[in-house]
Amino acid sequence: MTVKEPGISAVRVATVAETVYDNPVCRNRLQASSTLAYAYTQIKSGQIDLARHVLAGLPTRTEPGMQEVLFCMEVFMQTRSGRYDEPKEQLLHRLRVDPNQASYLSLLQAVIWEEYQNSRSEAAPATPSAVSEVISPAASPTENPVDALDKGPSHSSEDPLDPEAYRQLLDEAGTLEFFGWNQKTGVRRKAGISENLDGLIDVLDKILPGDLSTAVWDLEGGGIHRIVLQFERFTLFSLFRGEYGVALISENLQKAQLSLVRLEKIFRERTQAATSLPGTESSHV
Amino acid sequence: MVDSHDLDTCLGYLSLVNGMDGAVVYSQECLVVAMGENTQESMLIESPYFLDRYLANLRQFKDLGFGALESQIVFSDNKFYQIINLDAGCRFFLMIAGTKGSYELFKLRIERGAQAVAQLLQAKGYAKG
Repeated sequence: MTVKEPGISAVRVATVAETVYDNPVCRNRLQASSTLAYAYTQIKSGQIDLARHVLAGLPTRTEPGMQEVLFCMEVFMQTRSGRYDEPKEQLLHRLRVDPNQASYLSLLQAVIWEEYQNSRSEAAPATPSAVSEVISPAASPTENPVDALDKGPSHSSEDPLDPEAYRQLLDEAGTLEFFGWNQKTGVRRKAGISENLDGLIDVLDKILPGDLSTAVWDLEGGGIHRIVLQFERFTLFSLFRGEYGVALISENLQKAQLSLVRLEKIFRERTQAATSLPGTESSHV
Repeated sequence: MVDSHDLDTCLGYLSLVNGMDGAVVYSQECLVVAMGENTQESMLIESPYFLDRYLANLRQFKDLGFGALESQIVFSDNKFYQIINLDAGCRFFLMIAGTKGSYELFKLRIERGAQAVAQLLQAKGYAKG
């Protein structure tokens, strides 16, 4: 990654993935263990749950030197999930204990750089023409209740249901529809290109997660994060956090993998921001 | 069912894997048709909740004209629960549960296992292709 600002010469800043791999201890371990290398590639491709599962079952976890590797992998996983505060705090704590740890310093630099890059890409203004293409009838006064609700006062820049935040996902091939809802306030928002999915969208916030969340809590399975429904013609991928729910409908789940990772990232960041506001609470459905 | 033993053996392909809670085939009346070896008892307690919700969704989506719901996967904090429709007539369903991380790891295995069970049900004349 190269930085070139006016008046500043180009500087190469390594990514977190590169920094972890450049750490001699990590590199030796990654080259020696195919399981660890597999976990590393899974983190790189955004499969954090799978990587955690693989790392939890690593037989060499307790070996000397492995703690540093596992710590670096944890930092990598957190940044890949879009969480930057925790790894920065952990790295700072370690650097306070031992300021000469150059590998942690590089890692901290990479984390800060990635956070900066991410915030910059999110703050980039959207092209008005593209927005009007994907946010279907929401802009015009209409008898459709979903569209009518789209103009609610909570349509802020950090609103987890703001269709504009998910605009780029709708440009992906095979993606048909985005739908978001708030269970507490009843606000519903949608954007997309398909008109014959209205019937599905009308019932979605009532049936997902619906009674399942109570059942899962009763069964001590925790909160529901995701529900995937596969139909013959399309796949519905839904995410839940607190009172918020979003769904993406795609014609082909295999093609939509990247969109789904992005959806998860945007939704997580936006719900985190929304639920950290005073007077709001954060909990899984 | 007369052929349940064959199905049990087939389901062992899914249930005898580290990270999986088990695999059970249910009829549309929520009766256990077959069960893979080492299927955890907790799964037999949990499954009816998910199957009931799945069947309600299946009916609702069919009524709305979206066709049969082929699969439903629920991811919770710790686990995943998947239900796969094995029959074009919506009479047999495969329920699989396991640790959350094991889903991605065994996705292909689950697909292959479900296909094998569906083929067996069709071969014996219980299910439609």
